[in-house]
Amino acid sequence: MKLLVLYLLLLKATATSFGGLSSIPVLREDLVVRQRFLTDRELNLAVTAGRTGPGPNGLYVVSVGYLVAGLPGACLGWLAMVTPAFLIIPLARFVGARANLPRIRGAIRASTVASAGLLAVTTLRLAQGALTDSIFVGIAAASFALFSFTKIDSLWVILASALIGFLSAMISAC
Amino acid sequence: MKTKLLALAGVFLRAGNLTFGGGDAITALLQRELVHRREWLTRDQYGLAQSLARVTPGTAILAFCASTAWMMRRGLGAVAAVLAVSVPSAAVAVLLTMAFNSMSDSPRALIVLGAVLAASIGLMWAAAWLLLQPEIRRPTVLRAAMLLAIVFIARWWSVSPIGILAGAAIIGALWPCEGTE
Repeated sequence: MKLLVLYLLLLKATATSFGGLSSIPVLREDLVVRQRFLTDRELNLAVTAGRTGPGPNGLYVVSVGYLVAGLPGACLGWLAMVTPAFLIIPLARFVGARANLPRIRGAIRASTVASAGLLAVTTLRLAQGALTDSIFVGIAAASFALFSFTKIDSLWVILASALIGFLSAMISAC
Repeated sequence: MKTKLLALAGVFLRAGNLTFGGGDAITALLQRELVHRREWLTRDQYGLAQSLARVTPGTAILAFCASTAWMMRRGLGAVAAVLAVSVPSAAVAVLLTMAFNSMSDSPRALIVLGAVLAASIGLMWAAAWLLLQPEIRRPTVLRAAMLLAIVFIARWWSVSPIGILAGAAIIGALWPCEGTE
């Protein structure tokens, strides 16, 4: 039963968002706040794992599934991630010609602005628990700048952050 | 000429699992392979798939792969492409999740993990900024007011994200702003 609920909640998040990470607010609302299947820290960890490896940005949903219910959960996360992709086939057949209508484009663009606002609010909440040290605040700020204004691969930013963390741990141990 | 399913899956397998940087990197590799190198798709077909992927819910790059493969090999091609792009990288994501999760026992590892999580916070802020950026270039009262209202409502009154997204879509459909092309 828990697996079915997990799949439906993951599908709800992926099927109602546009873009890989924009499903985070819906997912946090359902899995962290309401169902308590996951903590903010685990959600943050899932995003990190999903972005460290190769492949689509939405892979963090697979990591979320794994953290909630192990390998069966990861399989359901994958299924929830790929299911909406097939909606494009009927879309390509019937709706493609209408995608440029002002009202349709207006709705899509307004939803995108709303997604950005929700993502910003959710990230502020995650930051309250994650940015507990001035080094972490600095890393978050540098990471924001690099991801926003350069084409640098996310893998390098995450590896550099790990190196800074490692050096910091070594210094504090001395 | 009908594209061979195995060759098609091979292209998507390589694009989805050997590129870092998410959808943009995968799209760039697929454009080179499908349009310029192998000529399996025309530029117009490729452009249509990109536009439709943007209006399809979920991970846009998966919808894009399903769409381009459907143009070449219909339903079977779409399934093969989505499997090839997502299954190996999903397995890698699970392995990385296991590795990060197991680091929670060591105090030193916790500092390293904290630094990596901080980078993710920056990544999510950047994702929000990049979504907003095109709207900020063409500012309108509607968009600015809508964003402020959404942030305020979500932060202080805990309205469900689905409700906020649906409300924004309705406002956008009923009141298309002058920046809409």
